[in-house]
Amino acid sequence: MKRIIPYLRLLCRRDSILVIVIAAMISITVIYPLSIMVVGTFKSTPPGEPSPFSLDNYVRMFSSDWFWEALGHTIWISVGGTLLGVFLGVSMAWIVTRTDTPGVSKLEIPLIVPFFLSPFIGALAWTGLASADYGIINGWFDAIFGVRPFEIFSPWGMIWVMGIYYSPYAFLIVSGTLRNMDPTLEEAALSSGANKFQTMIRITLPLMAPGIMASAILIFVAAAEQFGIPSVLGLNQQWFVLTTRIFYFLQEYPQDYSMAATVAMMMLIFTGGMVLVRNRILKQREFVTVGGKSFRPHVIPLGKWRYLTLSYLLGYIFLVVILPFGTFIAISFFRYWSMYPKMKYLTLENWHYILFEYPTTWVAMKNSLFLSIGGAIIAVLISAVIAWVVVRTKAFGKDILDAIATLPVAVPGLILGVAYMWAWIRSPIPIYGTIWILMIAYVSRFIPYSLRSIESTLRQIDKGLEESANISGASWIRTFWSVSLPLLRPGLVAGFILLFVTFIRELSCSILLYSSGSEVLSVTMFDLWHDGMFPNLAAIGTLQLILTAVVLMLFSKIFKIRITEVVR
Amino acid sequence: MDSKKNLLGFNRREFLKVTGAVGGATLLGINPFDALTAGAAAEPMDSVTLAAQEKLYAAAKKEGEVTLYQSSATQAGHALGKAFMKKYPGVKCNVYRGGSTKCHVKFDTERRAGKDICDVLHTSLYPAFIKYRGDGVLMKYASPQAKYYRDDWTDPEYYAPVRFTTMAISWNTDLVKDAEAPRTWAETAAICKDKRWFGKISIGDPHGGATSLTQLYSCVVKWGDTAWDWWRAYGEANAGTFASHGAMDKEMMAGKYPLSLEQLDYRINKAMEKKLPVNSHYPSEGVAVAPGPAGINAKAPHPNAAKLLYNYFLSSEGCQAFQKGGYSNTGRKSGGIKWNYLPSMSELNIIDIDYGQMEKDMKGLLKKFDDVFGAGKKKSRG
Repeated sequence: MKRIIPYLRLLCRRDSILVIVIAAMISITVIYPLSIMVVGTFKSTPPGEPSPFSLDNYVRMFSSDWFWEALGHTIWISVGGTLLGVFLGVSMAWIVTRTDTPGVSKLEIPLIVPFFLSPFIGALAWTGLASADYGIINGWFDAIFGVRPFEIFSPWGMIWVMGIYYSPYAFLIVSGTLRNMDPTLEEAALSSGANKFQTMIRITLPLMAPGIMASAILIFVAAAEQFGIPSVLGLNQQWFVLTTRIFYFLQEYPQDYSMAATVAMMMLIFTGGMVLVRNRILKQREFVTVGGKSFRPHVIPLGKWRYLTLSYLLGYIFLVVILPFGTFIAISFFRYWSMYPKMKYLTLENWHYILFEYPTTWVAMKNSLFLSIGGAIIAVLISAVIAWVVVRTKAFGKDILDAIATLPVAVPGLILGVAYMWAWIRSPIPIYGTIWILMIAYVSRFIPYSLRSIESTLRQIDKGLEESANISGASWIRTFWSVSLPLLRPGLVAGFILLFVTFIRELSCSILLYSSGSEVLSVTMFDLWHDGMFPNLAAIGTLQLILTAVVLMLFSKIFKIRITEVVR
Repeated sequence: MDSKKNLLGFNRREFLKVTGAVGGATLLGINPFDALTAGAAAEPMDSVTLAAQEKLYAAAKKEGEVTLYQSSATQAGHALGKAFMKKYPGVKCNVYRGGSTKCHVKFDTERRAGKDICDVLHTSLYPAFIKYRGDGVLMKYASPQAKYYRDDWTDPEYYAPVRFTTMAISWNTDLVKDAEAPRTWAETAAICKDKRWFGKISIGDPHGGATSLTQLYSCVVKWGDTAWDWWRAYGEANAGTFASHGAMDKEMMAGKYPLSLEQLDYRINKAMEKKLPVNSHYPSEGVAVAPGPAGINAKAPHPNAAKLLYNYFLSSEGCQAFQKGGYSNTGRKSGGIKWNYLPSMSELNIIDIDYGQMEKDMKGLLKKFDDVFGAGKKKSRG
């Protein structure tokens, strides 16, 4: 008994109670549903119905051609998307941080704009550009050269869209690495007789390697768990990846919940493993690059070539942002989209339908705003508390809390949706079929996103201010509210903006959990795509883009924060 | 039967009469489209229905709302909802639109969770309604309007076919000449050997669509292994598969899949009414039909509003609002709106199937589809 008392005292401390409460909350919202889903993989009946335990689902899955085909396809497009994304991101990062290319400081924001855009909308936009039958780029090539070289409805199309929309991840990580790199190593190499190319290959690249690896794994995991792009570009061709296979099992009648859960389990092991590897590399990178000194990076003069590099950056912005999203907006003003859009089909009827006739528009807009703003606020506050406990206290179990809080980053959205179906359909708490299940899914899945930015902000704040408040008699709640939170403001705002953007475009979790009255904009677009109402969905997609841009500009102006700081 | 030929088969006198009527109507500010296609005005509700509705309306207003899950065109559900709310203010009508399969998946998931949201269900998966009736999933309610519906697809105390859908071959006339388009199901498989059609034809996905499932089942029932050979041929021709015929429509108009081997009658009708470059053909050797019943959820959260909506949906007025929005057929004996490009049942050679047996055979049918069509697809990818 005497041995237990010190531990009991530790557990009864306020900060320890906080740890237990938050850990319990995350366990209920993430670990519990995943556990129920895992149990479901050993059953053959829908959730809540009795069934003997067996390995039949695993046997059926591993012995099916469709599983190995979907797995192969997933790896193919993930590797391809990663290679393209890393190539684009690293090359742009090097040009922006290490060369004398003119105007790069003004181009940094446009270069990361794809980060804030929905890859799902990107895929939809690219169908209007590069479909072999109605893409306008093919139309131009056909008119000039008599060929239609591109087909977006293909694995290469998926690789292209994933690569370009995930390249900002690589750009941000690698440009950060390059900015923090000590230039004296390169200078030493140059003064020892190495030329610029040799210096880049033998000094710069190895130093960049951890950053490149980290961004490659980040993109690979994001590509593997992506649902919107392969569903738009592959479902009608029966070209499945693991996520679309899971969706397929849950959309047929009768649903095959167990097989969906079994495939989801495989994805979880796959993405979870990759995230562990990535975290290891990221930790190593911080150890290497984080320090008290700031560096002036070594800039390479390119001479005439700097205009080529400038063209490369401008070309990226045109191809990835202006052309697809301009086309997407244009589609919303045509009755029909084709390779040679006819002016006689210009119309406002799509907008009229969406704004004044289609009742789901305003419901979805209201729900998306509620979830994005409300959910982001809740997630940021929870992240702030977790960050404070982990960084500032000696609470019992704080490291376990940190691990549990970052666990959801390994769970793809679609898998969390499957897990929630298994866990909450039969729950006595009536959240299934309501907007609250979406809120819980969003917040619990994306807490790690804001947690990282808030933790790093908190680490930079001197503890002395909080200690002064404590010594002056303020309780820990008062200290947190009056001292810590205001100092954390930049991190909180950055976290909020990041989460807002993520929530408003979220599709993979929402597509399984929404119901009548809890539709969101991305799901509405998906349904309209499914219904063949392309111009109407383009109108809703344009609304989503406008909404995102307005909120981002508003918050960055009110809180005086640079958009690039949000994502670093 | 070729829909376009019907219109062009008018003689000169009839053609002049119609043109004169359209022109005159336009001058008077009447929508000539309504004049041509509306046929008779909606029949008023009989006194029994009116009395029932009055009683239900008072109770429904206390409930405040009703939710319909439906699988016809989006505009059809909205048109019905709008008309219902206009007639019965104070009772909000929420309309959820999904494919038949999606509606049943949502309905069953919510039912399983004990969180019933749907009050009235309408889809084209008739076998599921037969099963629901047997399992006590549908409310036992004898609508006074049920007697106006086809006896073979109606269970007067449980459901009635507010709609039925037939499937036809259709094509984009800007890209496919009428002479090139197949006219029989056997021809649809024969053209698959021609490289010209590789990756240019579309079919429905029976996993995701009730009408596609009905099409497949009907052909297998009538032609057995020969039908399976056709689906293998479609796979080898790298046919696109669509759970949503709306998406199939869009891709046909956009030119990606200019020939559709299984398009829905109401979508063809809408395209042709809107003078889009579309033509179609209903093969004379046999056409599948998917009855589209509506029924009330036994655990409807708003039971009185559900009955109110159900009766309205089945009434001539509600049925016509739904038809107009969706350009569709109806299972009403009187036939409802007469469309220019939508053949009636009597004009078609309908394949007769046992929908109850279809429900039992569904799982095996889908497995065989995956094997046969999948093998064809695999071959097409080399």
